[in-house]
Amino acid sequence: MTHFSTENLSFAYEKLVVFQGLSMDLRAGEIVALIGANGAGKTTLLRTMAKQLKQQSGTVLLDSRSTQKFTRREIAKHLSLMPQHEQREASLRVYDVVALGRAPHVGWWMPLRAEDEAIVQQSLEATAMTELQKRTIDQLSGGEWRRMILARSLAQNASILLLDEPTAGLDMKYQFECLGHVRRMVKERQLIAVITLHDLNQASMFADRIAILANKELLSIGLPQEVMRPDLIRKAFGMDVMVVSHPTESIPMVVPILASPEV
Amino acid sequence: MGERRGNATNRSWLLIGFSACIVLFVSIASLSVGAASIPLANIGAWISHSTEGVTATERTILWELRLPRILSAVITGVSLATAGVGFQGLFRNVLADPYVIGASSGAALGVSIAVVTGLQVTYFGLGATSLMAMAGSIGIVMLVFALGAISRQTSTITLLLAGVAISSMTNALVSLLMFLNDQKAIVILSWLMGSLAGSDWQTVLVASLSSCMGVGILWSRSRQLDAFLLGDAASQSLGLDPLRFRCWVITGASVATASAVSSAGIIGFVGLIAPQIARLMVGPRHALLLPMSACTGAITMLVADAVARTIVAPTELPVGIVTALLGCPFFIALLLSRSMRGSVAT
Repeated sequence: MTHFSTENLSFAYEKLVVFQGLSMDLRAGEIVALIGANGAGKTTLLRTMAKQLKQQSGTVLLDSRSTQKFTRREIAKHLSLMPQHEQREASLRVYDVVALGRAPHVGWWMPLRAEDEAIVQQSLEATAMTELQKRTIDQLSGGEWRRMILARSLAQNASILLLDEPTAGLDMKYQFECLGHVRRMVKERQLIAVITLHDLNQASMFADRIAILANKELLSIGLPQEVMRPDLIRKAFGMDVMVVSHPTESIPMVVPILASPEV
Repeated sequence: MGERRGNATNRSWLLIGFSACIVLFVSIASLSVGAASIPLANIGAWISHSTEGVTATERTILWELRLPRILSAVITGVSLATAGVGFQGLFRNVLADPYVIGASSGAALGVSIAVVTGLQVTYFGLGATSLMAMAGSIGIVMLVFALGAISRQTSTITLLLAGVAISSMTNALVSLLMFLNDQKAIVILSWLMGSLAGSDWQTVLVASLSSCMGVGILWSRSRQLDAFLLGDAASQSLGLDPLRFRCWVITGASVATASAVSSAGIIGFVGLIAPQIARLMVGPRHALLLPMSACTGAITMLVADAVARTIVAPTELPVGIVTALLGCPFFIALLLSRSMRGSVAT
């Protein structure tokens, strides 16, 4: 069972502190939504957790071992970061991109083995991309492209998924489909997922826990019912909201107050 | 499901095999053209070691002049095209060519110094100009890479800018040397225009060794080059170490480029166009793109050199002029057809 945590994690660009003293403990089979205002440091946090940026202090622990002791390739066997943006102009085929997910396992030279091919096909199937595998990636719609990246992360066989705004630029149906996919994968395979989201209501619906990043620190982390509070939202986003209950599900929904002087 | 992908890949390999056959065919055909035309039948007799049907003079021309020259053309074409793919992948820009970070201007500076000082050295059978071309080319690329690394910026833009800056400074130095030594300027100039006329077995041997090294390094990075196409964050997430990757690609591409400039001088457009044509044929996957580019590069060089040898016979044109003259309209046609189809060139 994978164990992933950060201890007292701080990051700064030169003198500019982005976040500090961040401690989080993530459990297998859970989705944590990371929310916060623009520029709060969500992407930086994900990239630091993925060892793509070097922290100023503190540690990221993967199975109780500091990620500083892992090589990039070892990290990639356990952890996959889905960036917010990716070069999409390349006319690589969907299959080729998803097959790259096997690179951490087979290396950069060796051809894929039969078992790798099988994993690639399973990942394509799990994301409903089998039919599209011969397409080139510049022909994909936004939703299809997100699903392809998810398929690549699955092919990577990563037990930790860090997804940076996986719903950005998608219409409502695709947003729910995408998050639904992720949730199913996380539950079925007991993965750990950290997802940055801008839609607080989606965070409530799909995440097991929500973490708010504000003023360079972790303002709060907990169940949606504990975290979705008008005072915390106000601290994080500078906006007045009401928190109501979903008409049919027992989850909190955030409703902005229009008459607020801030708006 | 596996065969779905298999079909497309097999078709690409078939295309590559077919192109390799064309390389062989064009090589044999161009053995017959030049100042003295030798009928193909005689070449056939020569290849099959038959004693009849080919004169002693023809044998000498074929063995001492034409064959090394043709091999030189193939090696130059392969090296430039492969280096072009390497730099295009590194900068994620199809307009990058083997000279983009100063390999050509470095070589030019090396040659200018050799010519102006009248340097007389020979190593591994290579003369002063070849050696200085190789040294200058690799030296300037290393300088640019060091500058790019100092700034600690992980973006390749710094590298590109350093390349542009150092190149223009180096070019200015070359102009200065030519201006101050105007009797020797014509020697430098003729080298700058690129020619395969000086090819002999020794240059072929050295060029093929260094070319193999560069091409081999790049080919072994083909999956990394694929991953890098997807962006920094994505390729790092797949376990790619960006600094080491960059270091290897630059090493491979510059060694291949240095091998080409030392044996043939500066030959434009091949390193830009050959990868484009190959990309149209087999797509952007580097495991296929690199061998295909090697073939298209070799064919382009062979044809350009055959034209250079024959069009104003009995004298000949510098092959660099031919590649640029023929390459430019071809490139523009390619750009127009691309923009008409509205696809982005990657």
